[in-house]
Amino acid sequence: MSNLSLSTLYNQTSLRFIRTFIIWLPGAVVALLWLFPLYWMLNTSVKPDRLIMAGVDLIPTEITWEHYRTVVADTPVIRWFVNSIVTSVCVVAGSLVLGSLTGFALARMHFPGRSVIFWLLISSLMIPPEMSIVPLFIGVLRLEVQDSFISLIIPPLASVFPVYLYRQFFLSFPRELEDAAAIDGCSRIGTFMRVALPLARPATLAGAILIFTSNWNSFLWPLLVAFKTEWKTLPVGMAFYTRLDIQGTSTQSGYGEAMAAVAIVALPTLIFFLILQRYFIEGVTQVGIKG
Amino acid sequence: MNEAQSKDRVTYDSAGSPKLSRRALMRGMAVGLGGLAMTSLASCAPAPAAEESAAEEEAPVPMQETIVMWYDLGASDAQVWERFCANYNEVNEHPDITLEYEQVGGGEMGTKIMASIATGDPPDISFRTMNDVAVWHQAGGLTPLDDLMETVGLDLDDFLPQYIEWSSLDGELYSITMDILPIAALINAGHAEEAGLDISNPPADGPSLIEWSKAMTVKEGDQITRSGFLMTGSSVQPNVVFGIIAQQLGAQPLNADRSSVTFNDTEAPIAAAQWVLDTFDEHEMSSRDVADRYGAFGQQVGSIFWTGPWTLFGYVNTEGLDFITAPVSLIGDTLTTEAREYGLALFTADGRTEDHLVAGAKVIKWFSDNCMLWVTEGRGAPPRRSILDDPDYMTLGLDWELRKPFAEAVEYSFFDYLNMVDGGEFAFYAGSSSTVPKAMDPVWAREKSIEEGLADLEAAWQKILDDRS
Amino acid sequence: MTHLADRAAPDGWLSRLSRIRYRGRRVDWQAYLFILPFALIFIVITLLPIFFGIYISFNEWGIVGDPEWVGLDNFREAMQDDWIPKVWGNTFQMAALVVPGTVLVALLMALWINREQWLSGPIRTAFFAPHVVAITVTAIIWIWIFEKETGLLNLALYGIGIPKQGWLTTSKWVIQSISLVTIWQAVGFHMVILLAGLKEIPAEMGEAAVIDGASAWQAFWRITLPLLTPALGLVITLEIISAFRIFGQVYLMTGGGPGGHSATIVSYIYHEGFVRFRLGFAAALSLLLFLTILLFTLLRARLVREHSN
Repeated sequence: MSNLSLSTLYNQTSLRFIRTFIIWLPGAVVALLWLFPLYWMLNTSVKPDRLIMAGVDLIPTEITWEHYRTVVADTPVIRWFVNSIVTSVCVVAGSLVLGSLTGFALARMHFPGRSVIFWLLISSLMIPPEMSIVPLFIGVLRLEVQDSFISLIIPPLASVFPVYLYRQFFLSFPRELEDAAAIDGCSRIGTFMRVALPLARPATLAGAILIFTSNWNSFLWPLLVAFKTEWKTLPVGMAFYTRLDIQGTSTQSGYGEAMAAVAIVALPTLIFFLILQRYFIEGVTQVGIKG
Repeated sequence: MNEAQSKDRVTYDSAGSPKLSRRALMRGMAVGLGGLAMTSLASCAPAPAAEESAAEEEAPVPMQETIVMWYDLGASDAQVWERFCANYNEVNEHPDITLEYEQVGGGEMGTKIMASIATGDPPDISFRTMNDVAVWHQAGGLTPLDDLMETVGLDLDDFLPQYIEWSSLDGELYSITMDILPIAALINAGHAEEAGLDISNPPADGPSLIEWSKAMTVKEGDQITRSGFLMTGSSVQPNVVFGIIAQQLGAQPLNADRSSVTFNDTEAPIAAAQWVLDTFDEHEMSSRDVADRYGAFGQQVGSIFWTGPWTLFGYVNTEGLDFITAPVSLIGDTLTTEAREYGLALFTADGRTEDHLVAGAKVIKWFSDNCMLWVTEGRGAPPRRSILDDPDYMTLGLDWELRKPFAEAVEYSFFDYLNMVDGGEFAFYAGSSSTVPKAMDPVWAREKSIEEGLADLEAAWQKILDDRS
Repeated sequence: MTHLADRAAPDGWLSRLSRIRYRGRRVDWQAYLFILPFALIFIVITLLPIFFGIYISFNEWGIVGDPEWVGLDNFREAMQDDWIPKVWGNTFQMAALVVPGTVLVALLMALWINREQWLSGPIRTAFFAPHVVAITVTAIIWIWIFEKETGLLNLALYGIGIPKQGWLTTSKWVIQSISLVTIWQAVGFHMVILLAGLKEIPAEMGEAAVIDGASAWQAFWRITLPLLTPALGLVITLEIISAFRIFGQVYLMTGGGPGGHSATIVSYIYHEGFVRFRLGFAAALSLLLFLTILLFTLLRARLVREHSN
């Protein structure tokens, strides 16, 4: 019925347009809603306190950097930032070296124990890290490496993700190329260094980005191993700055400061993501399809 | 590994390919792994070795001691405490002692201290309540202070005797109390005025507390948008109010030798629990839907707030907030309120010399002797007569009128925990997963009857006592 | 396949080694060298601590002193602890919302973006963005949005005449609220995996079905969905694992409250292990958590197998 009346009103093209629009619109609306909390964070962080408490103000009528100034004045934000950057960069570099070597062996080399090792790695993903975190924490203390880059960087290197990523990638690597390399006189390591690794650039980029983000955002482990304020990472430091009374001995910072603090944590990864999003998506895709 | 390497070389050489990249990689890997092994070896090596040699070189200079202090105060307290610590280094009364002070984050300080005791490397001094001190003592991390304080000349007779008693475990002193933190009432002056209440005469008893709270409550429909009596639906606030009122009505959590639970021997806990429930449902003067009680008072969506003196510094500096303080109201028969104390404890570990412990004791003495800054700007009331009698005590720092109800409450408050292992599980002032909230939060949410909640509480407490013996 | 070593191998123990065969092919001994660096770290950082954790679950240990063997006591205590059904129940409830919620939204959005309409790219970006921010950021933003009096959500609802709710402070809503936050952060990641799965399905297959007279709905049901099963399986497995491990949100947003209504398995493990130092009990709970995850993952695998048969 309605179709009939519609077709009398519109020609075929506009009907199609409307149909498309009816499908398009809900998706777009949901996407906007999805982005809104992040927008709201930025919005609140630049509004003066009285506007924050006054209610909804979708576009701030008055902008202030006061909250950011307070956060920067109250916290060693630069030190935390450096901690996070150094940790994440080292973890990325280390993980890629370890992951590519291991992934290559698991995908392209023939040796007893290969599938056992692979399944061991994969099933370790199901074991809650909470199980190993207590012994690991004690180990860190015995070696007295709390409050150091060693304790921040080495444990995340045990992540199975880069191994998995490279293995999936190298599995799809055409065997002919490898054989050609072998005929050219390359050893396994030569093949790996001069043929496989350059070809694995997409996996390397994707891995680098995903590992970087997940380490930048990591919470529980840095929370435990950073005893001193100067060794906190940015997310952990800011969580404490904004977190309200766990012990009941403090009064909270206002929401303006809280939003400015978390914006400082979020913006590096968000900007990083916006610039490199193609690789982010490719990275996840590689985990997905080839998995 | 060797076989693999040499076989690799055979392959490689016969093909005549460049060797550099592979060798370089190998060397890099070897260096990397070696380095890793060395770092862990180095960190295993006993640290004192290095210190000793350094000391030998500088033989003429007196031995430098570095004393490490950990504290876990939050935003506004921490600023005052850090100033206090900085003062120590500035005044430099002991040129041979350097104080390193570290704010050790939020809820994790207890974890980190226990772990550091386990690995033999605790800090020298901590600033915490006796609850934790008892746990650390049990773990063997602390050194008794009686003799050390005599050595460094801290006058223990200047302390009010109850704090020496409260800070003692197994007959020995383990903590030097810095401040006592009782719960009192903060009242939003603007709200009181608005409701036509006389701010110079704050509610002293139960009925007037209810009257005030109701008058200051703001509702929209059946929703409370401003709690006249600030509560939360669970966790710390309802439980601490419950604990205070139950003890005002005469409830005793444990018998004298702490072997059995006597809390439910009287009707007091039932009446107290009913009082708490009535704030929500009968009088409709408290909303359960408050997530952050501190934030709620700061943002003026709560009018009367029973809390500790640690909030004063922050609220005095909150723009647009005008408040007075008053003692908690007398709802039962005897006026009492919950209190906790914070003190300095001294750790020991293998390899710590007597000189080192004495240096730590000197630092503690200095902090105790100079705690005027802390008890006037920081938070609680001092345990020492000389400071209480000092005219500066009332004039320095925050407005005395604000501090007075807290300072005076020291005389009639009860300590919310028992200085013993697991003592924290007997605290009313406790977060969601502790014993009291675990048993009583369902009561506040009306998921359990008062009697069921109290029975659960008694059973859980008794189990802790039984496990201990 | 030919390998240079096959031809160049001289006599001696080296060549004997290089001639060893495994399942009909020469063994690549260098592989072990490739794996060694990661294996060392994996063993030290993951494997040994896990075994140590299992051992500790049969002990009573408060960090200080030595572990004391107590056999199955920790597990017996877990059976009697009335907090266990509570935290397992809360976690199940969250998983029951988060797993279907995430998968459904991710699937719908993947199908939608796969149509490659106007602004598909930016919209995909919008969905993925929450995934790249830290849990600290997520938690603090949502605490503010859920705020009772001035939070955005209540103001918006109030505007359309719905009374303000205590999203994080009442047992009625707290699980839903935490689940919503979790879904918000997880959807983008899974959407991209599903999108990759959809791109693998040749467009002609769907078109052919439609030409054959099947409705778009039937085409989706008969062709797209079965072909998407591997990707869906991966997404569901990953979601089950992460839903059972919800912690950061709870730790930062509610601390388990109100009245333990949002306490999850991991937040209880954290409390028992790192606040009360009952390491043996905490390790036993971790083991039970592992078994729970294992059970659900196997169940999922089985359901998918039956479905595809």
